[in-house]
Amino acid sequence: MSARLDPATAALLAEINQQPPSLALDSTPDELRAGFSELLRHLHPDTPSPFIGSVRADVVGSAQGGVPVRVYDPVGATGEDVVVYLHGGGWVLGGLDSAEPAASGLATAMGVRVISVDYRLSPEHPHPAAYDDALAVTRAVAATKPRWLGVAGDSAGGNLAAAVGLAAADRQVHVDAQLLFYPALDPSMRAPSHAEFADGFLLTGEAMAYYWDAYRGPSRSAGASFAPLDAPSVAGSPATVLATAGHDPLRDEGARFAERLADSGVPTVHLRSPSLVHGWVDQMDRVPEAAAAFRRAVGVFDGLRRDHLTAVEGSTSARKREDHVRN
Amino acid sequence: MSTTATAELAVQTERRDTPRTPILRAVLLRQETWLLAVVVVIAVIASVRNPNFMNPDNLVEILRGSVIYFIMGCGAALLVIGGGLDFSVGAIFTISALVGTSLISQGVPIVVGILAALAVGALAGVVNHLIVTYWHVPPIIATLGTFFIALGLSALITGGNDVVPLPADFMKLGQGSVLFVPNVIWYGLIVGALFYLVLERTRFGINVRAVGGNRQAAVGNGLRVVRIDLVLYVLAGVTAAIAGMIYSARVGAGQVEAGGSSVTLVVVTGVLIGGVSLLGGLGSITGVAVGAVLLSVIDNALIVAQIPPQYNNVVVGAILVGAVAVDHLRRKQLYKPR
Repeated sequence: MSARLDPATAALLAEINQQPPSLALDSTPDELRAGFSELLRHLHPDTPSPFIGSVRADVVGSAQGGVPVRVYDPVGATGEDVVVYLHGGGWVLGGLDSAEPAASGLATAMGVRVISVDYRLSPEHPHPAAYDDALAVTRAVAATKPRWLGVAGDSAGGNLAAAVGLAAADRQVHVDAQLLFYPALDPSMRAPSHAEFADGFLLTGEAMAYYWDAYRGPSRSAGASFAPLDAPSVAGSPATVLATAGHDPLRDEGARFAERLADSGVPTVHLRSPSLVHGWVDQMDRVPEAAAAFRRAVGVFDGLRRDHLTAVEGSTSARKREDHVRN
Repeated sequence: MSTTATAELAVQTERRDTPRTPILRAVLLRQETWLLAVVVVIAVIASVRNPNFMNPDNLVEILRGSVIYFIMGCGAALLVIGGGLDFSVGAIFTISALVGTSLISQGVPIVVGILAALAVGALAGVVNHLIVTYWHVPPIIATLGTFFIALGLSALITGGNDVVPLPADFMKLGQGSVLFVPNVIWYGLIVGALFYLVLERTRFGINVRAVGGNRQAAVGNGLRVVRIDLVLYVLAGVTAAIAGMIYSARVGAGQVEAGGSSVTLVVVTGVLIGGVSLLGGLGSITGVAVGAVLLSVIDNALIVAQIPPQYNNVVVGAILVGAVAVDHLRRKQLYKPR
């Protein structure tokens, strides 16, 4: 039985449904992107960003010639702790601008550097392009030996973050923790929530099928870096905070991934927001419950960082004590 | 009441194990047999549609999907066998977990937090018992009332917010696996074994069947039925609290929206499908286990076999009605004069 839809979300959905459809799937990808930008403008009224700090554009090197990123350094951040942020938009839509509220919000809430990644989009660049870019940026950051490194992402970005997490489990890169907002993980779209929320809750089943097809591309990609839920093992993934929405086709695949992580011994926190719909990170300005859910999830994620630092400091001082005793 | 009299009463209530019953007939009369047959049929259909159904990961997934309901079902089943009913278990699950995790998140030792959750579950059981016994409110109404009260209090206690963060040591209790089997399944096995032993191998278990099978006769034979009722309601509350804490450790949060009516319905449905008679006296822990697994198998099989999930409720409803009808026939068989 589903919880009631959050009233502010219901009002927002009604408002969006009154507008002419901005995301008609028979449009060209560029038309879809323009429609998505329009939707986001609608979701973010002219509220000033609470972010205080520096923002700069950069390009992080990779075999393909560099991935554009936007680096958020809130006031007081030392750059020792870093979060790599991967935006949502079905691997087809979105970019650095669409990720601005989430990335700057993370930076503000945690007081750490956040690097938002402008990975290549489908269908022009199907899998593994976006994954390669996400991994390349994470590796480049990991190579700078930060004190703590987290990856985070929403929806399709949650897929990429989880895939990078699996690469970390495979020791291809070091990641300390991952924050997954309603990630897309299972292209089979068989979970009951897909049938329950196929239409009327912002992300439709039809749209999700389109996004998976676009991301899959002509090579018919498969494997864990494409569909993390298909990974034969998720053991060794970074400590995880996974936040789902109750009225979301992707709800059940997120829950299932959290269960697999937990059973594999990965410290996992699964936060449900039963009354919210897919994409609630983008709805924070309009839906108070979405803002609260974001604060909760980021708070737990930051808790993982603090625990990690405490543990590291503990072992460092213990080592120092041992050295002192030995000498 | 003498032990002999109690035993006679229990035998009168549950005659399935009498030596006169031929083994095949005894097996066929058991609800578990029919349920297992249904499980096998569904498994075969699902495997034909998708061979992955039978792979070990998916089988573990099925058990994992059923274990929280099974743990709650153990306490709920014992109560129903004793002639009671508890519709508040879904809310006891929530409130006890929220109290326990709130304390733990505020730095109270984990063991104390867990004990506090169990105490809340026990207290809820005591309240249910008092309302049923002394206010003479029928169990279904009494526990429906406490269901809403507990759910409302849960939201008040937490202000509607999930309880996070929880210490890693607490989360470890619900996460991880031992011998490739998730911890949570081990908990189910332990609770199930304890309840099996209590029901099948102790005098208390015999008395529970006696009270549920024929309350007046039990009173007439000197059984302390009020005390037995109290213990049963407390056990139903405590198992709901155990399940709530295991679930919280598993998801790493005390969730306000976990539990509730959907959990109550699944638990009660699993118990009834598992052959526990609402009329009292009859039922077994193995039946409850098969009932819980069956519900999970249906969930899983429909997903794996790519059958639209809307069929889930139809199938569950049909099996519930079928199971209770079979239970009625079984009861007639058991009480048929020979």
